[in-house]
Amino acid sequence: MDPSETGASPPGTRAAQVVALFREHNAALVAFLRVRLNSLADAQEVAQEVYLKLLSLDEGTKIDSPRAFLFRAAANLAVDRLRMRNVRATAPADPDNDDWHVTPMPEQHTSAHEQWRDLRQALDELPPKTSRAFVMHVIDGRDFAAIAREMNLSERMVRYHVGNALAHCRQRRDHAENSQ
Amino acid sequence: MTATFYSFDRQIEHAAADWWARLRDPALPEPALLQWSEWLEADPRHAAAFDRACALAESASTMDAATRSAFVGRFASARGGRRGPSRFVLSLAAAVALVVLGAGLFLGLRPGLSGAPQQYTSERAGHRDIDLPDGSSIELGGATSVTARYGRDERAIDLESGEAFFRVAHAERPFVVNAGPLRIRDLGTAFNVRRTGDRVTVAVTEGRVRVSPLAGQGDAATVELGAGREVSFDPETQAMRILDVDPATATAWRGHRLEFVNEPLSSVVENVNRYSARPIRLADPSLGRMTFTGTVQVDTIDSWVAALPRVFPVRVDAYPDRLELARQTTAARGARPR
Repeated sequence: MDPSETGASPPGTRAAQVVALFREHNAALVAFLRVRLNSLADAQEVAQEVYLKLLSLDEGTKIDSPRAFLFRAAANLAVDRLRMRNVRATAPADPDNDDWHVTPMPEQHTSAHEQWRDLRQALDELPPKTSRAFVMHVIDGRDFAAIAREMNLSERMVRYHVGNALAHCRQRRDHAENSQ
Repeated sequence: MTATFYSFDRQIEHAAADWWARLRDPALPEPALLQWSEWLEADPRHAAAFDRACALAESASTMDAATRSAFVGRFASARGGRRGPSRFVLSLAAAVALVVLGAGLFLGLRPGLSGAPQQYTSERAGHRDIDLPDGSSIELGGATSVTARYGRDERAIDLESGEAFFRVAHAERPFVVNAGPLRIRDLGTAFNVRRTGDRVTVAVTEGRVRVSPLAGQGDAATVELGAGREVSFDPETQAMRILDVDPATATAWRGHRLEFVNEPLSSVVENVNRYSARPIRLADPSLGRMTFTGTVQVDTIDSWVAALPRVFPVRVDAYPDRLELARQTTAARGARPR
């Protein structure tokens, strides 16, 4: 299903292929980046970078599986983006550019408060290991390897707990949203 | 039919969450990744469920620092326990406070200009002490939530619910507490605020405060209170009533006692529920209008409830998950606690 390319392609073929690739897999590309970056806005931005990177490839580059190539390029750019984020997080704060003093809307405020309360209740319903793995990874931002060490579990079990907790919390939130 | 669809949706949701967790692994093998993209593109419901899983994880990763440390403390503390904040969390909170304070000192000219709005909450029956970066402190009663917003022009605290005692460090920027319908401006002082929905009571233990309603009634409705005075706002009459108060009474909750003077039973019950293991409910809303004066020990709430039929025409029905106060009919035999 992956049309392979030869170095002799006429100019323009690469662009057409990239466009077709994006038309077919853009949703999956953004979803993949969204998981890696945990931010839809960043995912959309990096997807654009992937697009540009593929367009700027030398026509001579041989691509065996365009779809795999797409995800590989995305994974690399996601790593770059995460590294950039770390640099920014450790840079000194610029007090004049912080928007912390903007008063939050009361409704947003309440809904955030309720959202965290509901999340806490959903996590309370889970076995301690399941909720713990979820909080350490999703809320505290620690990677699977570190969690596995601390909880004395395999990384596969940590993933399993995180997935279970996410499914449970999602179902609780769906239930809350549907009953409103 | 519906049940079948329901469990099918559940299956999809589980698959989506499972894939989300697998994709988080940077070392996910390429064949698995391609398998995932096939799953995602096979059915629009798969994509929608995956989207929802992403959205939940994304929102959970954006919580403010205080909420995050509360979650970590509850579910992922070093000992793995889940009951109450551990010493680990408290020391973490202290460390965060130090960092905030340090950042404030580092910025030098503008201490306290160093963070997003911070929300602080306490558990039911729990107390919590908060040291703010400017040297002010807040003591939270049970089931209380406040948000600190320190800006260039004022230090603002929103009391969302519950009760808190404020000790304010004097500074040029005014210290303001927004409690529902009331705005309390500190004039160098210590004071207590209790918020029960829109019923708010402010008691001053030291110094002076200025209290004004948020609804624009102008300066005419603003009152200034000195130590030993309290004002309570009644949402039904929109009136502010000023009384003398013993500062020890107003802050008795800090010693695990709740004191009430001529307070509607509905408000008393709501405040007691911030401490009660079994919530107390009023079966008949009209009972809420009776007024109560007295003391409730927060560690012996059940016996306080059991004694209520001696002073009010109520009976107590105890259920495993709640205590219910019902109007005592002439046929009823009086108290049936437990």
